[in-house]
Amino acid sequence: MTTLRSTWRMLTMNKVGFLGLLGVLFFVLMSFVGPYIVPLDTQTKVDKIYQPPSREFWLGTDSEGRDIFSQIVHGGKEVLMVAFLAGIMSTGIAVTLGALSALAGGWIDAAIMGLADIVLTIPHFPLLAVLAGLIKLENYVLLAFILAVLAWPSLARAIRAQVLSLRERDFVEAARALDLGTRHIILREILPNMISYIVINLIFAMTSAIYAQVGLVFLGLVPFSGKNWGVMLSLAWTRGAIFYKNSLWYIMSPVAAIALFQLSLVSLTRLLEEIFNPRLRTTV
Amino acid sequence: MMRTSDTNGLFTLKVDNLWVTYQAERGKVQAVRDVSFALSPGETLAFIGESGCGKTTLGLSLIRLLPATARVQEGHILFRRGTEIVDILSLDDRELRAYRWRDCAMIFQGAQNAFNPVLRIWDQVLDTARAHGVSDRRFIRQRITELFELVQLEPDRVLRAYPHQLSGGMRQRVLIALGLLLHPPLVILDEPTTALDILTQRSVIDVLRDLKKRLDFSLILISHDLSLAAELADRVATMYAGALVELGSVWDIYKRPYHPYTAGLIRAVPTIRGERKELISIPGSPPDLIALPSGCAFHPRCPYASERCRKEQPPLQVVEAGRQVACWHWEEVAEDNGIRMKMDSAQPGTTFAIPAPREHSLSAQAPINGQDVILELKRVERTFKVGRRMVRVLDDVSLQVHEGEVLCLVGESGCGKTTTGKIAAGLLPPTSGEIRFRGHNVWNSDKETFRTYRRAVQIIHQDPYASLNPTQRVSTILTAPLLRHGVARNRREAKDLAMELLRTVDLTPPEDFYNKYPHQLSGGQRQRVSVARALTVHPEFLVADEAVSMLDVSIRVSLLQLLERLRRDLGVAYLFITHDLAVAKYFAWEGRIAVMYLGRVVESGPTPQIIHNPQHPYTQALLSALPEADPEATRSKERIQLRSLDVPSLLNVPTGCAFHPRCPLYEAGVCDKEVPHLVDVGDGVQVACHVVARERGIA
Repeated sequence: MTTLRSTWRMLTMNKVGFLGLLGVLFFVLMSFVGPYIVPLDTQTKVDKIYQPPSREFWLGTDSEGRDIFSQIVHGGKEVLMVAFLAGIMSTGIAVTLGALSALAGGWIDAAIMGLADIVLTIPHFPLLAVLAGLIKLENYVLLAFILAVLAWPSLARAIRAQVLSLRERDFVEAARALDLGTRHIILREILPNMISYIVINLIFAMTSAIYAQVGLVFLGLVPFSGKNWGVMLSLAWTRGAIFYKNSLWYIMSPVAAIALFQLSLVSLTRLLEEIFNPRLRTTV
Repeated sequence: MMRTSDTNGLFTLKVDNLWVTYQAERGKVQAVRDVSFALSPGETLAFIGESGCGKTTLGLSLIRLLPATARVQEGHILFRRGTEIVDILSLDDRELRAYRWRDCAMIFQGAQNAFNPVLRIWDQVLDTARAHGVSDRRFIRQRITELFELVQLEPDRVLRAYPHQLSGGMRQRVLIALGLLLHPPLVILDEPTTALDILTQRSVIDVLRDLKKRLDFSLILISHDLSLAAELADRVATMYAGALVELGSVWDIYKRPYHPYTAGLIRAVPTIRGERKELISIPGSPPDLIALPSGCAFHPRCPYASERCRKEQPPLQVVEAGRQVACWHWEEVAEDNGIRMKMDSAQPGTTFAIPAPREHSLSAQAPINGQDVILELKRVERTFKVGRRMVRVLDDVSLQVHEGEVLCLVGESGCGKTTTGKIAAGLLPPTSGEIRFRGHNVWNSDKETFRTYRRAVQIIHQDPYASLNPTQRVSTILTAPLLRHGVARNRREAKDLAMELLRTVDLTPPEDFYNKYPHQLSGGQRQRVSVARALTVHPEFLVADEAVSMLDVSIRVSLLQLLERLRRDLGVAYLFITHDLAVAKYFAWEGRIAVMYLGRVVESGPTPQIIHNPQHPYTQALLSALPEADPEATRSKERIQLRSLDVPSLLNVPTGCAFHPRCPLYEAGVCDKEVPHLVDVGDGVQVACHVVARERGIA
């Protein structure tokens, strides 16, 4: 009971962050559970083109009279999956390589940082465009992986710098004097002091993965898989939806979905920061 | 000169019933409570007290620089400008601008670092003058040149310099000159010598005293350093929990304090003069300014406290001419000279023995050299790479510490004492030379021996805020090493032991501390947790690197007493690193002191010898420069004048004896040619000085 209450207090102590958490939960539920409840409307209804929101079509209809809301519900899963996968993979690569670089030093450090420099200098979008032409990016795991491989260097550098500074701290020196072992020093002394930073960067990595992916889809560089906010945006664009007042709902719905999800993620970082930093915690 | 405070007479500044509060999340912080005092022209008034007692807030409110969360609840601050009297609290922004710097200048704590690093000093002087309405360049130039000469700075060189080209002491002197630029009749100095080395501190004190003599201004000195107040102040005001508790002339107060808190503060400071005296540690800690105790705020820590103190707050009343005290029992304190403060600080002995780690212990073995030397540094040298250059931080350092002994390492910053400590603790390998632990050459031994040594030697760091991992609770900090080394077999046993350890370091009741995070503890409590953590592995040797220098006076003493108790009861030997010779004297009276200068030991010997009969001119200079918490002693002390104030950089160590450019005994052709080696001069004292060696007929 007490733990439940204190968990609740911890979650609600930052209002903006808590709203972010609710937003993220909402989008996750909508994208992963929603498709089982809301069937995807694929039927062309000539008499219902570009309708405003109504009880029947919550977000109006598209250029072929199909329900936009159902498309939003079905189009989120892929975007979210790629975001999570790319975020986790790039953060994982960054933390591993950054920490390794700092702790190993010498030529390993030089090699990893050299690689990071090279990746940083490659213009990502053109490379993705070329890659999209070479490989079929239908599989979203592969797409996430490619995004991750391009996204790790800046975080890796930051992690390296943090590890280098943390390992000179007095409490790490004390742990060395106490002979607590390298494993303990890395996992219990250094890592916990970076965890909020890492988690927050994970979130930011997700947001940039969303932009990269939606951008690719929008430009048509990734083969349409049918259901994706990016595809919706692209279709709305090519149908000239921005030119008609009535089609506003068609083009704005995926934009709003992406923007709201991003906003929720960014707000969530505030809460995470408080949760992972005991100094900011008001409750014990 | 002593000046009496006649509140009806002429005053420069007069504060009446000032109340200042901060709005914090938990409630109102009563930072300044009903403070009244008057400052005569030309007078120096020092506010003393521990951190968090409202000194700085008071200073800031005098110049109306309080942060946005602070509010002056009540009171008046009156300033006399010629014949007119100005109420500072009612000034508008424009008038305030005129008041600041022209009428009243404040020099902040740590302001040595407040210069803009990309502007030359001259530009910053100019900016300051212009901001306060003076724009005649020639006038400014002339004025600052005069002032720089008074504070012993070469005007042309310093004005052209960028801040990073000046040492900390020089920057502090520039600031003092800058503060006096527009001839303000009132100057507020907040901790002017904190974070400066002893010799630099001395130069700042001398400059201040000289300035006071030549230019006529009133000075408000805010300092936790009782020695500084003893040197400079005419009158002293003790602050406790935001209120003035005692006010009087510096001579009277230091000789015979009437308030138990003042008595405690003064007796908590070690002195150089005379025999080693036991010091007072005021029990407990300053109160929470949000929830003040009832009655007298000091009563929970006061051995004189009675029922009345718990109920009624004593007013600050005049008890003698020029003497005010806020204490119901001041007569008792005056009578027994505050002696009761001491009785309550008696500490219990340590009865608790920490079980040794299960693993094989070296200490059980017979020492191979057959002596009781526990740790020995032999001709240790250490270099660091700075950019492309190699800097030699330690050069030919040899030290020995016997079992249960205290060796104090003393010197100014950059002399290599911290590096020596790290090398002694096995945290840093020497570039050359040997570290022997019970005779074993540790960097040249098997892994087991090294690990045993590593655990037997623990380190206590200076900064209580950096030495504990902020993400770990006290429980984790203490149980991790206990479990790791098999001192405890399981979590429950580890918890019991950790509780015992907390009790050993006087963190009682331990339940209150066991689940805390470091940020929930005070500085002194954190240092105790650090000590407890070191004790988990049953150390035989502790390296205490300025372990008490960041703590308030009263807390400092109790931590020193704890360390001393561990030595007595557990037989722990110490390498005690400090910049403060008075602390060294107090802690290592039965031990030895080694004085370091630019990476070398220049003198070492038994503590009483070093303190009372120093041989090396550097040791003599350090001792003579040290201010003491006794106005008579500190003002009558003979000072050794050094030939240069500036410490040479390690990047450019002088030839021969590294001290020769500053040494008063310098002999050309000898001191700048050959490095002097330590030679025995009797009484167990070793000195590295050509002149001393020749005079003793050793050479």
